[in-house]
Amino acid sequence: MKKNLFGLLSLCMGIALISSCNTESDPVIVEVPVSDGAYIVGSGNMSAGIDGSLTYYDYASSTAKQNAFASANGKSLGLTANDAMRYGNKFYIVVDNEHTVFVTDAKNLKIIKAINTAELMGEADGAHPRCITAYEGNIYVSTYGGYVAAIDTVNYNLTKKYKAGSYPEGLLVTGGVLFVANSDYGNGNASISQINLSSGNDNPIVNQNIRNPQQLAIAGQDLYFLDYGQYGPAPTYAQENAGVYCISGNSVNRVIPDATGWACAGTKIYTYNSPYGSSSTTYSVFDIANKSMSSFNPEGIDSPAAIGVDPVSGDVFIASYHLTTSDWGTYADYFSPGYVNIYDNNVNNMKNTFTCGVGPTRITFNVSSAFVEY
Amino acid sequence: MRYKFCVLWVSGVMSVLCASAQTVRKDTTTQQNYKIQEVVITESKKARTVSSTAPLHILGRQEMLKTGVTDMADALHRLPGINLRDYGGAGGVKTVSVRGFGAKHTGVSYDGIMLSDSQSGEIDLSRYSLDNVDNISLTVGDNDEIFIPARNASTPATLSIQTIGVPTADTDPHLTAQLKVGSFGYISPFLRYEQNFSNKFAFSAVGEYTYADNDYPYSIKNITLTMHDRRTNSRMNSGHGELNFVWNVNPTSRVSGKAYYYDNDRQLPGQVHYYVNISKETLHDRNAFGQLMYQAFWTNGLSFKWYGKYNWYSSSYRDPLYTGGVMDADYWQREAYTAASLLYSPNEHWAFDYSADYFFNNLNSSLATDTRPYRHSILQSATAKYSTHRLNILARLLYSSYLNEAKDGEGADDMSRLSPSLSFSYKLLDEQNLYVRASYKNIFRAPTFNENYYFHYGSPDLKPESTDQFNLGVTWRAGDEQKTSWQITMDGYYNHVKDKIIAIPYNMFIWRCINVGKVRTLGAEVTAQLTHRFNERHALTWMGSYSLQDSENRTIPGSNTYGLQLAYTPKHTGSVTVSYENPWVNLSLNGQGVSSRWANNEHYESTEIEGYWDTNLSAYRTFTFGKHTIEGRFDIKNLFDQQYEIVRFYPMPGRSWLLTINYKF
Repeated sequence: MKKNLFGLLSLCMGIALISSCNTESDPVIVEVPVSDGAYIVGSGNMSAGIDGSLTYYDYASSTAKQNAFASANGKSLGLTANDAMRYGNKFYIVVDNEHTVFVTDAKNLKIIKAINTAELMGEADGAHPRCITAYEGNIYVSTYGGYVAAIDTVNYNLTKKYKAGSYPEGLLVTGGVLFVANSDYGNGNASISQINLSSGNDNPIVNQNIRNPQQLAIAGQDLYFLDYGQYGPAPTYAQENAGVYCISGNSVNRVIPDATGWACAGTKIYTYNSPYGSSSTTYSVFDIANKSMSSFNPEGIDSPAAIGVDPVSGDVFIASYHLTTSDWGTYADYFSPGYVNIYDNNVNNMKNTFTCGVGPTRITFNVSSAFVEY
Repeated sequence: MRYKFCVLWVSGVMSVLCASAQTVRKDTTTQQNYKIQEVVITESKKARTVSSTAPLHILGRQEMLKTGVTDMADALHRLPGINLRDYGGAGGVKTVSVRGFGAKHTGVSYDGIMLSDSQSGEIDLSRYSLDNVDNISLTVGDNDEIFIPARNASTPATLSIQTIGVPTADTDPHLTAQLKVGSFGYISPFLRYEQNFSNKFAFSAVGEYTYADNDYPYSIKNITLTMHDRRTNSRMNSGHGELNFVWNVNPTSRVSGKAYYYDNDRQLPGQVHYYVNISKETLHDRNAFGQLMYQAFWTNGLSFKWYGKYNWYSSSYRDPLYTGGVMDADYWQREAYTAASLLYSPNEHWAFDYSADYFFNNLNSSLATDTRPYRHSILQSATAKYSTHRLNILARLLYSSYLNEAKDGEGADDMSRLSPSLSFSYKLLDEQNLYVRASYKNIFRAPTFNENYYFHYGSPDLKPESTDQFNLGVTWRAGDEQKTSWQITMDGYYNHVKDKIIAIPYNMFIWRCINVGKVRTLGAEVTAQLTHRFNERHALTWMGSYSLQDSENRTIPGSNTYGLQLAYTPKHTGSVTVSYENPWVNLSLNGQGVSSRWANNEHYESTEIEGYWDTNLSAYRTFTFGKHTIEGRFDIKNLFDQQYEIVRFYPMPGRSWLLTINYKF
């Protein structure tokens, strides 16, 4: 069986694997994944007092709905929306500076429950929730307190609290193991936790090439991670050692040099590299099946802010800041609404473009199961 | 004999402070008693505001009581041209900017010597309570007070805090005991002891303590909802102590000094959030300084002053919600300061001053990225003043040198500049107190240590931020003090800032400071005051001020901020006060407000802050039994319970009360 990447998109990849092997000749009902749209999480901008937002791009109408959460609920997401995902019939949004995970009805985005992670896990452990994934009836939320909460998706109780490393960000669960990217806030003492879900024991991976890990994906026994690296000395503060790394056995090797954003789908890892102080942005795609790498050049992206690949269609979504002409030159505007371009899976043709909120930070997809008769 | 030296003193001080107040000066040359001194000082202040060559606004202790001023923030709101940034409540940081220059350009002096914060460049005025303050004054540009350290002329605008002196006429001990109690867990006892040990040596000691929970309720709009909550993690726990002495060495020389300590261990409530308020941030400020002043007046027209100060300041910031203390920081600042001024007044028309200041500042911190910067500053000023019965002219040249080094890194660029200023006032009519004034001042500020050195923020190669200001104004004071009197002032001004230092983002995490901005401010200020005495026991006073301020970015046409009003700068600011003095309970109703402001220079959508109008009511009465005085006062702040913000996401308290009992003998 071909190794597939899953991480951010663990749920739908899981479905894809389950549903792929029915060869009976009688008509049967088969469960297949369907993607109806894309969510763009805007972090807002805390320093400017701009709230986070959610933009929903609907495939059927090819239109984007701005402030989808606020218009569904009559209230704002609050400061620093950071991550989101659809799981089952619910859509979850993690808001860092509100210490809250919003559970909404995926159909209409109306709030079902607002989970205050600081209350649920204790203030020190549960403050600043960051990233979310889901596994077997629980959502898993990492917090800057150094923990991961497993939260029941029916009663929203804390199923279990796992101690991770310093400043956890991205996470994934597979085969009863919880992997957590512990960024150490970029201070260098980073690690990747491997936590046994039933015992809670952590067997962290520590390596000189794990400096500032942010996101994780797994393919078979190989664990891939996006690492921001660190900043070099003044006055240039050049970005050093950022990229996508692969942990295979005991070795940790960089497979895509210089990357500051990624998206994983099928056997491909799409990355962009938009480092501090550099005016040039590069884009690479790496195929884990044949270890080949090629570059691409998406049309019309000023300064990439987030990337996502629809797991069903394979379409590539790239969010960008607009450039603004300020008093000190032209720069990416972190304070004004951004935009998203949609490309086919080779990133050759731009299919559409739409506006999103301030500070786009995560692109995730409205994937559910449909039952198809064969 | 004792009175004689005092009068000499007064005449000496007055002749230099206020050579324009001719009538006052004549009074003081005759033999008078101590009572006269107080009268003279008050009189001279009024006279100074009228004849001043640059805008000068003074709020004296009595006036503050009469007009219902409750605290420093309230007092600052009454001064035209001031724009207060207030994070709310008793513990909220309060900084002031004047006429669109930015808070780093506002100098603050405490009993004649400038305060400093070499790290941020901004003085937090919430540290200074009014209980021991005799008057605060705001000077915009250079006015005709010339016998001052060079550093006091090194800012576009200076706020002076003058504490209560030790003018008692006897050698008995005097005590003031005061207790203030207010809403949201506010309690503040204050004690002041003062005594003349002989006719040569006077001493005072002041101690105050303030505790406030600051857990006030607020409401905040969230799209369609209005959410109600209370501020949490907002406690303030602060103490302040001061020792002062004045030693009249001989009839022509005096030494005075002060030892000061301030300690504030406060929680910071942070920005309000819609859904969860669990701030754990704390800030512990400690400040100690000692200052000495020596003054000598000689008969040949020469006078001399010497100043010395040593300042130590520490701040500790903690945020336990970020594990591993990644946000925590301790900072220590030190300053050693000395200055000397020589004044020569050969005749009643001319006065010349030369002042030279040296100060040393350093900053250390607990941060691994700290480079331990320090700075030597040498300032020299030469001032000439010419005054006649109707004309005052002042010209000053200030030469400043700032020499920068860092112990563990690259020092910032050194800088030196020559800064001129010129101002005059002219009495239009011989028999009327009607003055016109015009002033020009060019001055700059050196970058702060944060701007030069802060990791992933500062730049060592910054130039100073320079300012030009032009002011044209008129003051007319008329009427009969015993019946109806009034005063009106009108000023128009044009200010320009170039090489403004701004922090620019290269990405979300790394910023750099650069010199790029240009700001142009056009403004107008009007103040008016009318007092009518119905009889000896009833008087009505009306005061109003309005200022229009158009401060806009003028850096590069076509940029995203060009032509836009600066962040946190209201176009319209105003205040109105009505006070009624009577034998029963003195009353004062005050309102102040500003128009809407933007939270950023770019005017991002949804970041406009609404204007507000805040009304306060104050009532007080004084009872005197022989030598004993008891004063009771009750204030209702924000009478109409308006919910407003000065800083976005930092809501201000709604209606609250304050009770003050003061006992003196």
